[in-house]
Amino acid sequence: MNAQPSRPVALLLATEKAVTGVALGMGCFAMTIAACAGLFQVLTRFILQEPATWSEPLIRMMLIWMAYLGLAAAVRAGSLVSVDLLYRLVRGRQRRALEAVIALATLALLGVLVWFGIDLTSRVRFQNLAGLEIPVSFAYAAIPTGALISMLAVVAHFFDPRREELDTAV
Amino acid sequence: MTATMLVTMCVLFLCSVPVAIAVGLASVAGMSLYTPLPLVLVAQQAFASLDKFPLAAVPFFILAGNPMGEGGISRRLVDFAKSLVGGVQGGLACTCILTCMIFAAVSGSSVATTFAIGAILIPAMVRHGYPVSFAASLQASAAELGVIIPPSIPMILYGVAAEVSIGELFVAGFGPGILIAGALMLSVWVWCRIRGYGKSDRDGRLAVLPATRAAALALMMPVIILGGIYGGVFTPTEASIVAVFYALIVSCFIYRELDLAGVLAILRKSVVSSSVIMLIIAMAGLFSFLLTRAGVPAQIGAYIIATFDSGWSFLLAVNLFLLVIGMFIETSAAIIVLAPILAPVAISFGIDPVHFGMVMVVNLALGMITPPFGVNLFAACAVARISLDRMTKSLVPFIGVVLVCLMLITFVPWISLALRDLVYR
Repeated sequence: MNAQPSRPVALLLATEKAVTGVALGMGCFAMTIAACAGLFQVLTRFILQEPATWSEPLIRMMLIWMAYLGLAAAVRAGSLVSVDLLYRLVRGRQRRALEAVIALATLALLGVLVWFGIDLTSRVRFQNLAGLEIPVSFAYAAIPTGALISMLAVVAHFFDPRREELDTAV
Repeated sequence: MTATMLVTMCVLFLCSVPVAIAVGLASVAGMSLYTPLPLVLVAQQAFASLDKFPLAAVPFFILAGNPMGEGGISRRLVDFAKSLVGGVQGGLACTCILTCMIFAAVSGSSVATTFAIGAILIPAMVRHGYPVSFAASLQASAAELGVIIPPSIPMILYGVAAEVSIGELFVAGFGPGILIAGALMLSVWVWCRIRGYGKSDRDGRLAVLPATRAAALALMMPVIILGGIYGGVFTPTEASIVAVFYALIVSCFIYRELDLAGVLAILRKSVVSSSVIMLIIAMAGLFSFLLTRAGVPAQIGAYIIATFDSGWSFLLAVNLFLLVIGMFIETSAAIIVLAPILAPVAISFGIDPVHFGMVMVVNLALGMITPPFGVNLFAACAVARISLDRMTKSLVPFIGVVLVCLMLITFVPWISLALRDLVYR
């Protein structure tokens, strides 16, 4: 469909590839931290008979970051699960129109998450995360950050659609 | 408000908008049109729905199951299952079911099961003269056990949404899982005799002892996970974390199936899978929050209690409803939205919420193999390289068998609760 993408599109795709790649890398890093913190929690309970108090909130925070950072890669690969009956039925220009509708719907929701995510993050900046003693906004910031990166991925997915839903389906 | 939300959601579903996005947008629409709530609640719920420690088990069980899908380990499990049940006519088909059952105990996902086991057994069955559509249908149906035998991601979600102990749900899953596996094995065994499939299935089968030895470390994983939970050593979430490290150590250092690049690939894949499912959890959580705030669960509950005079008819109606839902809607979203509505009603009819959870999970798992939408079907089609249309006919007997099991599970609570009562009471 886009055998020869125009220059702005090519630039967009390249930018998105780098950004999504970094986000996914950071998502993997967050998951690794969460897993290690969990292992630490189990071990401290056995060895020291006294589990760490910071590990559980750290795991929750890291997994939320992981979820929203990984979202861009999921969007890019077309991994979000959908009831794609209509998509399978239509071809050509109609399919393109449908893809535009899907992209706009996704952008709308992500836009809400970015806008109100920023709002929320700034509202809670004086609260501390129980157990970790860092501002709770460090955790909430995952939502606008992840959603913003994903918006870029939605646009890239529109210009260069991929459907790898099954590779990561659960 | 509820009507607007449902209509918006269905229209978006029809336009092939991803489930999570459709559910989220429907909530935003309902909220901004009908309530004075500020939209900042969307972000707040997108956070709060995920900020629960029991949910952390979801990404970790996804991560722990992935190394198990690597060639060497799933082949060892196949050899082990084959050494046990492969000796009869139709043994390869039985092997497929038993392997899925064992694999289910290390993985919380049924699609992962389809890919890992199907990649080995579908080609093997075709080589032994089974029709490819039969092999694919069997694989898709048996992989359902992935979410019924613990650990199970839908059970974690049900436990969180309906506030039921995840440990109790896990132990309750064995009865239904063994029932379905047994029923499937019995029916393919009979079917293979009638049709004359699989007469040379015995070839290349290992003796039980060496096969067990080769698969021992993989077989230990469910023992560690479940033993740890029921021994009171760790919570289900901690068990999922221990499972991750156990799986990585076994596959990297002992079986040497994975190198660093492989670990990174698995990590990336698991992060993306988890993101997909966690966005659904977040948006379904928002949806459910709005329904609860509007008092919808109480209204539906009152309506159901007034309409159905017994738990028996209620369960039948719920099963029919969930079957239709399961054909079209993704399991996680269905559980998060429906469990908080239906579980309290079930309790008021005197149904144990753990038993009710089994009914929901088994029913929605059936949705994974009922056309037109079923992730297992798509996965099995992809592995077998055939189109869905070719599978539909050969699926019917399997769906029938699982339906009969579902009815038994629904109306004989003992199947789900016997083991639970033994362990917890």
